[in-house]
Amino acid sequence: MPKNPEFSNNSAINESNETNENREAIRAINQERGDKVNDIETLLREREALIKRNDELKAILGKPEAPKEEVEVTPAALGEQATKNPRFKRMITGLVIGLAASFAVGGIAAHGIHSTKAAPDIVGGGPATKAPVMTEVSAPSVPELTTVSFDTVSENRFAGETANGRTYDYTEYADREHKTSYNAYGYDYSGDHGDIEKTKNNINHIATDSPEVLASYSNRILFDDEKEKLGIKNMSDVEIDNLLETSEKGGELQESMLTALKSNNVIGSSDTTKTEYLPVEKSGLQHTIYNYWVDSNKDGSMTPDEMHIGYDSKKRNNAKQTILKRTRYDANGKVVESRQMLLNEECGYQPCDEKAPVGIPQIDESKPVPQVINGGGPNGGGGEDPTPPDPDPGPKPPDPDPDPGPKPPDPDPTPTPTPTPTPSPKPKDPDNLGRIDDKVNKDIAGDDGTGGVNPGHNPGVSPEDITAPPSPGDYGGTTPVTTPSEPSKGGEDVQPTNPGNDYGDNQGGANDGNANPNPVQDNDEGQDAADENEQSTPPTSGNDLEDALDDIGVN
Amino acid sequence: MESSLVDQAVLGQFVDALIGEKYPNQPNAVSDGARKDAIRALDYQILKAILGSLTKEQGGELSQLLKKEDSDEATFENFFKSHNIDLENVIKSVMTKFRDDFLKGGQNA
Repeated sequence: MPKNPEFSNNSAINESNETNENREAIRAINQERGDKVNDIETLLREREALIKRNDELKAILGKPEAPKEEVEVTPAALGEQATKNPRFKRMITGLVIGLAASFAVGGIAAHGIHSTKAAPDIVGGGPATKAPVMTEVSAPSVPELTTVSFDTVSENRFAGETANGRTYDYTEYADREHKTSYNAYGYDYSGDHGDIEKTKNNINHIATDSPEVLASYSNRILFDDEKEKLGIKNMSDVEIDNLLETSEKGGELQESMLTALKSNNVIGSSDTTKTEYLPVEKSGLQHTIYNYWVDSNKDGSMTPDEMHIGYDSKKRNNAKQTILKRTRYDANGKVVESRQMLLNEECGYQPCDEKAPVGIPQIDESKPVPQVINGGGPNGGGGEDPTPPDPDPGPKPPDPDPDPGPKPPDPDPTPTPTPTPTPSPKPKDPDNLGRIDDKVNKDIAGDDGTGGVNPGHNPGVSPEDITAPPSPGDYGGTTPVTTPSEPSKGGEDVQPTNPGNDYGDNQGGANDGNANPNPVQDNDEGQDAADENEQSTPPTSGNDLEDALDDIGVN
Repeated sequence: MESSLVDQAVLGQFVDALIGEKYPNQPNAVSDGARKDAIRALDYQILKAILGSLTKEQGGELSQLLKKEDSDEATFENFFKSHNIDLENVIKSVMTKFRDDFLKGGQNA
């Protein structure tokens, strides 16, 4: 609207009005801005509060866990990981150190391995302490990769073939999972007691796996003509085992022996042979062989050259055993001869002898007589002599009476050995022989054969061992009485044989004349007394037996 | 070299002490091979007992711990404690049985 001079005052008013409007607008804008600012500030405050609240909630709830991975790991793999982790091993080793001390067997601490904490009191056995942190023992070196398996041990070092062709498999002897003791002779087969088929298969497989067992079986169960054809007649268990080892064709000999054992036909004969397996339960003193291993080459392997035959005496108490009996008949069905052996099922069918094994004493008369291990004493059997040895006992006169009956008490407690300077069978590795000693023999006498650990100790044979040949009536307790063997339980029928033909009485062949006319009767008191003094005896030889018996006028 | 769980020198001393207790004053009562076998057997039995105390899931868990570089001894101790496994007792049972078998037995003929 154009300005009108006449209205100049209106312009001023208008300008004033416009200014007021502007101011109002500005005020409104400012107001709005302020509101908005206030809003923004409010929002910011709220945001901070929310953030704070979020943090609080996070702290309360924690970080969400990552989903667990499900890992399948086998015991073998886990074992391998465990044995490769040095920190885990250190932890376990520390625990073992602490525990070993608590056994009060001398304690690890006493042997110089210390910990940062005070060693536990090992005298008289202190309380088990928490495993100390090892600081002075060097950290175990990182092991090579080796798989730990919880399965039965079966490695190449226990089975194979020797240079001369013998095959062997000692896995059963090496496997600790199924043993009843550390040095057990094979598995416990008493669970198959009475099962003829299983018993037969078990025995065959054991004879196949162990040349030593094969040697001891062959010595007992083969007929003389079979032995002669095999070249093992009149040999002891140890000598047969040695032959298997030293013969260039040891593998072939092993095969032939196995064939003879398993065959029901006599080699090269038209006669027939029947083999029977008779389950029995036996009590009383038995003289038994066992396998023992000496790691000569120190590589942890078991080879026939390192496996040896040892002898022991055990008191049985209803032990589950099997009589393996071979009987030869002529064309008319008449018994020609028979052989039998007693096998202990708990210990891998080890052969046992109820009569005392015949000893081959070797006495060096130039030396003072050491403690007598066998013979003499008021009980008539093996005796531990508490008195000092007589340096010059002189030779004992031979017993002119081959059947003296019950032996009267010996008024002279000082034992005198019978000199029979015949050589004892040479063991395979004389460097590994041990001596029979009081403590071990007491252990053996007191062991009921149901368990125990003996890592490799063997009574063995030493040229210095003195053993008087057992005379008839030895080991007979106080009153030896002829008695038939226990009736078989659940076994095959026994072919009729001569009356009184019990286990201890083989017919025919070289074993004739060796039967003890006074076989042992189960006599607990006598057995207890005999066991008190019973000692292990050295191995035997057929030829030397006859010579020894000749010397004392028995034959 | 065969891997083992427990330091062999430590087990060796334990076995030697048992040998000394069973055969006092007989330094050659046990052959080297048999002694080594005893040590190996005890180590194996301890390992087996420890792993045998675990369930399948716990075995997987332990496996994960064993793989980690930062798992220390306390980690493993806590692992067993958290699963209520008295590791000391487990090992003690093994060593007790081993000792008893060793001292009481002769040849299991």
